[in-house]
Amino acid sequence: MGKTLARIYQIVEEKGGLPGRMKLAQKTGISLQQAAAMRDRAELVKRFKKAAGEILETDINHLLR
Amino acid sequence: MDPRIKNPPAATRTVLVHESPNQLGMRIAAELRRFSGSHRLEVLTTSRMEAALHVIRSRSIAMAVIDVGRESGEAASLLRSLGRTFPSLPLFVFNGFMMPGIAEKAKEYDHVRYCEDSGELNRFISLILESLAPKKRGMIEGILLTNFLHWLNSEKLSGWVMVSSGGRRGSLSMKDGRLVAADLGNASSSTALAEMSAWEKVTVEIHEGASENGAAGEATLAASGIAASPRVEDSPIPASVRPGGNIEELRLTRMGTTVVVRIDKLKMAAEVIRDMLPDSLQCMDVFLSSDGRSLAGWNSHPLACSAFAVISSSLQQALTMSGFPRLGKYYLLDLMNGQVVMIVLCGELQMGMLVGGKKEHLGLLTNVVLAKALKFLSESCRIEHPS
Repeated sequence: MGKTLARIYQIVEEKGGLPGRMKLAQKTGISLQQAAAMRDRAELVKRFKKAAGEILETDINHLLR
Repeated sequence: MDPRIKNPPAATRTVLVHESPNQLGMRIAAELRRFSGSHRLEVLTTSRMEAALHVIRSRSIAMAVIDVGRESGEAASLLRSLGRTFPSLPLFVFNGFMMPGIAEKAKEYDHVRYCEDSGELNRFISLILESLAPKKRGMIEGILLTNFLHWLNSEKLSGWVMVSSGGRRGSLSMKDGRLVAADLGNASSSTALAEMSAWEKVTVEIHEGASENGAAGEATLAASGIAASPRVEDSPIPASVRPGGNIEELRLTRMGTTVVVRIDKLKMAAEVIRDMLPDSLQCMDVFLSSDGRSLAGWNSHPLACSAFAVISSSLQQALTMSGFPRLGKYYLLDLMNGQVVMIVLCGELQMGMLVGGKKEHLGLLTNVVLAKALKFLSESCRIEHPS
C-alpha cells in the first residue's frame, strides 16, 4: 500500500531533510503515515512527484526506478 | 551517602552546576531550570568545591558545569580536580571573562566542552541541552509554529522540540503527535504555547526520545551547600489544547473585547472545502484580518496570508476614500493561466483560496464554496464583550 508515495517521501527526506518532508506534507496535504496507508493512485503519485520536484528542484522520476 | 540527599526518579538526569552567587547571579542554573520539565533535568547548584565533589562521588550525575569567574579560586580548582580525576564525567566550562589561563586549562582535558565570552551564554546553554538530549532529528527554520504542530500531529512524531525565535527559547514535548507540555520558563503550559504561537518565523529543532513531562524529584541538599532544585509541577494540558495536541481555541483581546476563534472548526472547514474542489484547489488558508496570521489551511502559504490581509485592508481603505460602498463578503482576482484567487471576508477572519484549472470552477466557487466558507467562518468566530 502506498509504496511509491512512501518512496517519494523517503527521497524527499533523504535529500531535503525534515524541512523537505514537512513541505511535502503541506503541499500534498497527506502525511507520511497517511501516504503509507493509501493506494498508489495515479493522480496521487503525479501530485506527489510534482510537489517533490518543486521542493527538491529536480525531477525525481529517475530516483523512483 | 548523605541520607538527606534523595535520588530523583530514574529517568531524570542530574546536572551539577558550580557557580558563584557573586558573579552575574547563578545564570546557568537558572537558564537550565527553565528546561527541567521538558528535558527531565534536576539542576543542583553549589558554590563550594567540597560540596560539588561530595555530590559527584555520592550520586549519579549526568554532567557537571562550571562557571569560572577567576583564574584562582574554587571554580578553577574544581576544573583541575574534575579534569584529572573524573575523565568520564562530561564537563562543561564557561569562561565568561575569557581568562587565558582557564582556556588553556580547560583545553587540556578531552572530556571538557569549553565556551568563553559572556555574550555566548545562550550558545553554551544550547550546547548543554543538546548533549543531554537524545539524537537530534533535524532543524526547520522560518516556519509558523501552528503549521509545524499540525504537521507533527499528522505524522504522530514523538520527542521534544526546541523552539526559538529572535533570542527567545521554549520547548515542547510531543508523544505520538500529541502535545504533552509546553515550557517557557516560568509560564504555564497554556500561556507558553499561546506565547510561542505568536512568535514569527520560529526555528524548531526536533529531538527523538523521552518526552513525558515527569515531575523531577526534590533534593534536600541545603546542608551540603547545594541549593535544592525547584519542584517541577506537572504541566497541565490547558483547556484550550485538546489531548490530540491541536490548539482548539485562540483568544484575541482587542480594545476590551475578546474574539474567540475555534481553530478546530476552521480545520474542518479546510477539509470540507478541499473535498469540494479536489482537482482545482491549489492552496487555502484561513487567516486573521488584523495581522495575516494563518490559523488553518491546506498547502498553507503564510506569506500570501500576510499579503492578502494587507491588500484587503488597503482595498477597504480605498473604497472608503472613494466614497464607494464598503467591501462585501468576498473579492476575486483573475490571474494568469486561468487561476483565480478568492478572498472571503468575515470580520476578524478571512479565507483565501487559490483555484486553478478551468473557469467552470468559478460557478462552484461563488455559488457553493462561498456559502460554505462564510458559514464556517461565522461559526468559528465569536466575540465576548466584557460583562
